Amino acid sequence: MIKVKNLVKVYGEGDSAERAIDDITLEIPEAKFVAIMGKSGCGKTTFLNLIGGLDYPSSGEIFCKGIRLNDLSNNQLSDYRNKNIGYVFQDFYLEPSFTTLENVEMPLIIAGMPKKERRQKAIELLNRLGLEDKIHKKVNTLSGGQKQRAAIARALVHSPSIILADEPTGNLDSKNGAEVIAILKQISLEGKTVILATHNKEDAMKADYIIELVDGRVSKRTEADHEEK
Amino acid sequence: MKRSSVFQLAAKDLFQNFSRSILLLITATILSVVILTLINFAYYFYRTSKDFVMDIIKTQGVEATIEVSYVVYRINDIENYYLKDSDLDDFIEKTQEMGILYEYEFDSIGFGFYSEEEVTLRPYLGGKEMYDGNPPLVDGAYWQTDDIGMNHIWISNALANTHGLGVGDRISLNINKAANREFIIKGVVESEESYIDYHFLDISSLTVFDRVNEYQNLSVAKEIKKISKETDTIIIGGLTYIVYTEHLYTTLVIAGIIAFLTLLCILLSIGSVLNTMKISIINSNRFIGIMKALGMRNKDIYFYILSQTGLIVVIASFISALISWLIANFTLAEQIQIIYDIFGGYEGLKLRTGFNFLLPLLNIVILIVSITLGALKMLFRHFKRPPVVILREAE
Repeated sequence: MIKVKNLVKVYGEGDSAERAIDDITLEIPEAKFVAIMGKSGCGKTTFLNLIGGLDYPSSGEIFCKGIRLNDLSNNQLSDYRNKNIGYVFQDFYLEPSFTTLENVEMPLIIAGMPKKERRQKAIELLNRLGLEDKIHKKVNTLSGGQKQRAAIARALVHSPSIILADEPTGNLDSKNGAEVIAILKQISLEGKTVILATHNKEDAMKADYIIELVDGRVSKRTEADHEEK
Repeated sequence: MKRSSVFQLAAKDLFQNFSRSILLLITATILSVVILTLINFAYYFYRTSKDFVMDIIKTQGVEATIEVSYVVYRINDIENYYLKDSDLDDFIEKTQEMGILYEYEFDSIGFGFYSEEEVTLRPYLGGKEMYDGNPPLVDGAYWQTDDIGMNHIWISNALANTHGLGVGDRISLNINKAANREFIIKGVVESEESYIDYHFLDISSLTVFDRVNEYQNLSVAKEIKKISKETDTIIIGGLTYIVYTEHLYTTLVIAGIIAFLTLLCILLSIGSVLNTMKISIINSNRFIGIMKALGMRNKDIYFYILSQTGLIVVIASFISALISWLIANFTLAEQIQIIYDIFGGYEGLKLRTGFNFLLPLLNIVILIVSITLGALKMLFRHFKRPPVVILREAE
């Protein structure tokens, strides 16, 4: 479970300070597919970055599986990310000089897994995501949809319990976008917590919960069965 | 994360990002060539000067540098010139006609016959000419023309042994210009070579004296450095030193200037390397951000950057070591000879060059230190920053 309490993130100082996240308190249950929805600039990405340990809050607390992220040092946060978080970026953030396989292996290299084992894991995942013929190709030869699937593979390869996807369909056409959302849905059904940041209502509708953000605050929380404000 | 994995990742990234890496390699190589060429130059100059000076100085307390004089005799003609009571000028004239590089002037040409005889030495500056009064000699620090020969007396071992003289003994000679002058036996120099003519053996086994006099503070030693036979010519590499204090100072000044220039270039190069390092880290910002997001620890990031730049440095160092050696050997060597010509034309002086593996290693140390310094500041900033900030900057 992920819990945030009075979470605030401010960018800048003085008169130019901007509250990207303005006092959010909520809980995200385990093994669910949650969509964070809102217009551009409402704080979706910032929220994801904070709970993923990719950024530091200005104030407030973040709990993930009982661990208070605020208490973790830089290196501990790195370990936390490597063990618990799989991140799918909008811009993929794949390393163009490496092959698809090498990119997917990265989290396992960081974790210190032996080469043979990590190769096997990465190849299995790539096969599952339909990239078996792209394994040894450089990522800059892949299409947008293929890149995003490779990014998802990288996010899954180290078996994290939480997948954070920040606008994963933002740079994709509708067909590829739908495929990616379907993959994320499948992942959540396998017991992982998937948190999707999106401005696309159609994508959000696939989730178990929709949390709407406006100006860094939670404006609405929609579950499959009922609605809360 | 395993160190070997980090290194492999760094090496792979380096070789696969060829255009970025080649630019860094070229920059590092050029800088290394500059550093190493100057270091080579300073090293060769120092080595040659040092060997030159130190090989010859046999007595302590010498406060000046050395000039070289050579004595060349022809074996076949030597008996003709073995004179007991010859006229000195006649001797000089005859030997000069033979084309001999005449350096010693003997009042008595009794090579080995030094019973109470005085042997006069005159410095021949420029190598071929008789002393012409330059540099001028003044009281107290230099030779005076009339004093030449008064400072150095040679007696054979035979003479010393006959009179039971040894190091530390004082003797006075009562002939000619040496009248009432006191000399201290400073040391004995033996030749390691055997000669065809025993006279030369006698010459080589000369006892060295120091002059004890309020005007001069000079030591003279004569050592047979090298004997080589070319047909009928024997070259006695007689290294005698006539001492001029400024020459030593000049050598030191020149060496100091070279050292200063080298240091300056090293500092400038370090500055450039720091800058290159900065660029390298900036170019790697994106990669660092991604890896940090995936869970790479700070020390692994540091080792990653160090591995990449270390590889570039090592490759650049060995390439530049070769290039700078070629430059130093084939262009700068002539400059060294010119410098020594200014001193007074040492014939046959050869710059002691050679490839020294310590120099590229020194260069590697310099570059790695500067790279580490350059990397640390930027990396420490990265260490504290969250990954998303690094990625944002990389965009």
